[in-house]
Amino acid sequence: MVRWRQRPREVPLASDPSSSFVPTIIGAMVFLSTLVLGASLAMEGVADGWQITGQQYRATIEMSLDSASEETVATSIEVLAQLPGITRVRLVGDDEILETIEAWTGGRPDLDLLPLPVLIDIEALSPDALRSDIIEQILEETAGAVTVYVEPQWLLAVRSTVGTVQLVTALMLVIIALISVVSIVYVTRTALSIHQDTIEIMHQIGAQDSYIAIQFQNQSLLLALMGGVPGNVLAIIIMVILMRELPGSAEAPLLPAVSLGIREWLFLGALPVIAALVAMVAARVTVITSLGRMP
Amino acid sequence: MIRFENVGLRYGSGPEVLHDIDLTLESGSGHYLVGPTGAGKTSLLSLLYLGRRPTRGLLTMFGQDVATATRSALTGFRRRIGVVFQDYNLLDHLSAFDNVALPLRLVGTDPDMVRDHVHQLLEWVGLDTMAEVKPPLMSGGEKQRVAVARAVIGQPDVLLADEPTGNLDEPMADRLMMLFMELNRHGTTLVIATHNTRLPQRFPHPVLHLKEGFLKAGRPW
Repeated sequence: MVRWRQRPREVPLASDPSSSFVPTIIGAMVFLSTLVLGASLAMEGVADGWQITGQQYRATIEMSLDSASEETVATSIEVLAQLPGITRVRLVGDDEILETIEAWTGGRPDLDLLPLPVLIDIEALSPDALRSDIIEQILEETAGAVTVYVEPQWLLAVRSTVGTVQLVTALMLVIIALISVVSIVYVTRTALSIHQDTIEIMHQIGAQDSYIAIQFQNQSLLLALMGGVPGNVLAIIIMVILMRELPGSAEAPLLPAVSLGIREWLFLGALPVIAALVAMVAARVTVITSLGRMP
Repeated sequence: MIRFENVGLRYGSGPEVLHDIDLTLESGSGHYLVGPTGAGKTSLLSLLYLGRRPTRGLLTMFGQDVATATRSALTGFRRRIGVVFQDYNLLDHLSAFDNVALPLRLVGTDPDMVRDHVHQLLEWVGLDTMAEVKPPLMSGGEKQRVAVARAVIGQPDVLLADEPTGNLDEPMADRLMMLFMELNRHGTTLVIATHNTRLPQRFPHPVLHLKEGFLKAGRPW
């Protein structure tokens, strides 16, 4: 019977002090980045619920039911689309209106009892293009009296806050990534120093730099996964618990639900893999660069 | 194959340890390198196995100037050179088997072929029962035999040996020297640094005398 023989690692990295340091630091970094990114994605979801994401400013025009013939609505949409600064004009469908008012009525209202208004949504890149007095004056000729609801001031403040939070999140993620990379570079350099004799012998026998680098990069990948996966799982458990504690749509129908979609959860779950790949590349580049300076 | 022209070597800013070395080693030649302790034998070997580059002069190997050779070219040269180091330079965390297998693994040899070759060679050097033993548990002579096996397993074009029989009894020393001579007959260029005056008498080859860093070619012993 042929005995299976595991191929040894020529550079004995498993016994290094870094074996415990790297999982700890990467675990902590993945934990933090999962929480930060999760919070940011959840906030984006809430902003989506309030329709305040993106760079567009919005206003809604309510037309009087008496004057809202199909022709009048079509003409009004044409007029609005030609206004300076307006980027989008659309008629809000009945289903969308019903969905919105369900939060107040607690169910689908009877359309015979509750006639729906005609609503037109408009978007602009600047709030200056959405002055209600000007829009009302312009539409008076084609549609008579209309009411213009411009996105309220507090919503603009929320929009600005969401933008700031997303910027801070991105900054934090960059800082976390930098700390992780610097840690890996430091650990790899230390390991290169510890194993200098072994590396010199391997070079003398004919090992290429890439052959040696593979051993370091695989070790970094393994250690980063060993730390990153538990850090990620812990952060996700905390997020799930927190989200369950927040009021749901049943208790607070007017508040958008704080939740994440499948795609967001998958993205968060991929963070340890991304961190491990970053660690692997950082280790490889460090080894190749350092060995390149050797004779 | 290997040519030194006016080569000098110094360590850091220290004094020059090799001076004006002029030497040509033809393919398939065999030489002994002799000289008193501190004469520069190990330094000359380190230039030959590309552990160091000359601080002056020209050293060409396999037709290429080593001073201008790329890292990957140097790696290619090293794979054509087998070295038995005076202090063996074995990897202590690897078994005798894995130490000997290393040169073959570095060039991606098939694992089955590696296993067969290594066992064959370990048997030849009398260590087939110690394949799984690690160097720290071996005697000096056993380590030396592992080092010899590792140096020759890749059938190198050049074989450099620094006191290869220093810790061996006479029958085993003769056995290894016969292996070296056999490789030499098949075209391997051989340079053996030794204090052992018996070896050149028993296995005659030209002698290179090193004294205070200067090299003089001598007659066969």
